[in-house]
Amino acid sequence: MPFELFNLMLLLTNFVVMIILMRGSADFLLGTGVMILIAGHGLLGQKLAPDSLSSGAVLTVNILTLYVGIKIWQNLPCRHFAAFAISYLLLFYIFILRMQNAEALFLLALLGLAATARSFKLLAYFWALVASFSFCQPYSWEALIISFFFLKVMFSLRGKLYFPAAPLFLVSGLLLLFLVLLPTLALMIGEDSRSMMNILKLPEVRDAIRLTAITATISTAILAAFCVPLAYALSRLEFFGKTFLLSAIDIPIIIPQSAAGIAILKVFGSQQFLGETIFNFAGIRFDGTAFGICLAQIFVGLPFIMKGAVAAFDSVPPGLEQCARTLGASSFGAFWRVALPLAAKGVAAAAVLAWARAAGEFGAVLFVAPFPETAPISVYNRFTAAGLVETAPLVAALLFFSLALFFLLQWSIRLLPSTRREED
Amino acid sequence: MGAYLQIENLAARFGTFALGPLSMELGKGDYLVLLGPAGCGKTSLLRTLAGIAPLWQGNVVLDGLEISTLPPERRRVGYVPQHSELFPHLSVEENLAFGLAYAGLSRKELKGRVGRYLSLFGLEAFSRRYPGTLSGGESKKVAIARSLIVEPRLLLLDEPLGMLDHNGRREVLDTLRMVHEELGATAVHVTHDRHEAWRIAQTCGVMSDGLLRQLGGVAELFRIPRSRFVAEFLGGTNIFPAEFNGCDAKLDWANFDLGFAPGVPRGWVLLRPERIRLAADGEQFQVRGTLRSIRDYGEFIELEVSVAGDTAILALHIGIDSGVSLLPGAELHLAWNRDAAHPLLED
Repeated sequence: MPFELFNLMLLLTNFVVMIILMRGSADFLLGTGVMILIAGHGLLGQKLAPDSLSSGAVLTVNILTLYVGIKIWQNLPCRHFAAFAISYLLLFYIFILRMQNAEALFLLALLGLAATARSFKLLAYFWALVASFSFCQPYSWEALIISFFFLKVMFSLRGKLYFPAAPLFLVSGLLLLFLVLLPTLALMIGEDSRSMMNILKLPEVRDAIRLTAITATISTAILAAFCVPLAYALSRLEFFGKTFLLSAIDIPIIIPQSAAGIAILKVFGSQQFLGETIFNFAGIRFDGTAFGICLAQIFVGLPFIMKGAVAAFDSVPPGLEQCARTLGASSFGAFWRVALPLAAKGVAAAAVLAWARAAGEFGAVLFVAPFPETAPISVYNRFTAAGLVETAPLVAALLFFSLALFFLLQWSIRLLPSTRREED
Repeated sequence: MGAYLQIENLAARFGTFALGPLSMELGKGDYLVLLGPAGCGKTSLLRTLAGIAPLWQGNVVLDGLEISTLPPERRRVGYVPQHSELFPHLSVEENLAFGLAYAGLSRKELKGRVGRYLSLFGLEAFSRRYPGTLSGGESKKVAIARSLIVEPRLLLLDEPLGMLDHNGRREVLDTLRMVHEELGATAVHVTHDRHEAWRIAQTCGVMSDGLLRQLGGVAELFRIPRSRFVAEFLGGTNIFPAEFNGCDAKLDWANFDLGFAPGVPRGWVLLRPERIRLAADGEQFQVRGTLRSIRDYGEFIELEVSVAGDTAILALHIGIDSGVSLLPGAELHLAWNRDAAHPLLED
């Protein structure tokens, strides 16, 4: 670009600025800086930008940056200015020296810097954004979500004065947590909504999801009907073998899910004694039927609902029920009107966990009833038949579906009463 | 005709702690304060009476009905536990209405009764509040109202003034007086604080180690304690071992004329500090001692006087205008009338 009209205009503008400055009606530092910038652009403009428009843009942004820099220097403690200057240099290094032809990005980043440099918190968010998109490809969105969350956590910390070690533990723990959560996030963000919708239109996928939802709901209902009273009994009574019973509840968590499937088949399989007897009397077969799916889901969901429900009833003081009895409630009435409503929150949370576990069960169901297909089995079958790329949209859709449901349920549980005293 | 509440040989066992055997009677409308140190079985007795703790043996007859075999919901015995135990998921109004669900009232009657009790206990402003937002005194009042609204035949109060601040105590105490005087409730109130007995009780009992040591009118119990334990628990100081010989009590630093023969060879003598005075000049005195320390409580002064070397120490309270300059080390002449000394025949 040769020396042209634009550069001449710049020099003229500079002259005007100089007059304003000499009349004493402008900030000296700012005015001088602006003059130097304009002069520089006027003289070297053709080296900085391919055309006059971009050159003008660069100039505008530079003036803005200069203005912000001076304001920070004048009004804020000097560590803010240091952060601003270092950020500027780093941005220059990243976009101009390290990436080639990234001037436009540099200008955009400078606008961001100008907008955020006045506060360390905003600056941190800004850098999280820049770092996510310049260093974390192809997981930039995931990195952005995680880092924003992380920053929000760190900025909202309370109590670190009293427990100075705890924030360090928090940071180290969060790092691992993010690493673990990254695949989930990547899967959900990585798929576009159209391919997810397309896959959800397939009849076999719809059947699988419907079957999963129905069987998991039935399993959870059965679990709730038997385990909630059992949990109450375990919480209120002492008896021989109670500790053993409480440990035995964990067995489905301890053993591999495939082993659980085999174990169920060994007893309830159609060739086995009990399975055959049940078939003869009730006409119910477990292997390869929805009954089998429910059975496997109940097996794996049991510890989740039991643990939560026992803890929930343990948190209800027995004195409340005794009081209810002296007021005329029968033992059953005290359970129904006092213990159960107060434990409802914990019990519901446990039931949601059990439902999620049941709906997501793969191993045990695969052995007991590989067909009809539940959603997890369908994912597996699709993966073995068609591979990762074909399966990812289905998994992303399932993840959206189950996470949405999970958070909706968790949120609705908060509306239930609790034993904890309200803080007024 | 038997008493309103009749407890006969009641006994229960909780782990290694044995309650009873214990017998007592209470008239209709009586307010009994049961005193006892921590762990003496006061709460266990209440829980046994309410039916929420098992009874081993004995009979409890309430208003002519044997209740010891009934489940708690059919005893019509109200119980206000130490920690109030309001239902946290119900508002004050709903807490009060809880027991009425079993009273077979119509919706309108139920509302009316709840409203009446709310105003009776001064709780109208709290009707829609939840227990977590109430102060200790307010919670206690709600708990008392909740028990009384179902019109129990007997009200059991477990440390109703415990763990309250000064205002809360006064508020609840006023409520309890109202319950006693206006509603005419028959109540058993257990506590470890003897001042509560003075403030409200007609009848008072002292328990220790699961046993009822003495039961009687408040004045009687404080004036004529039967045993050393009761005297000490009710705040008695100046208790000295003594040998009785006819009407004389022989202490190792003095001899008293009791005015009557206790009938046992040895026991204790309670010398009431408030009945001891400084002898006027020329007046005959019972004992001479050296002032060891003096404490001014505002309403009274407490003097600690050595009477026989280091061993026997005598504390006494006298009016503030004794007119004597009292400095530690001063020699004092102490005098009292015959009724200042009370023999304690049991340990």
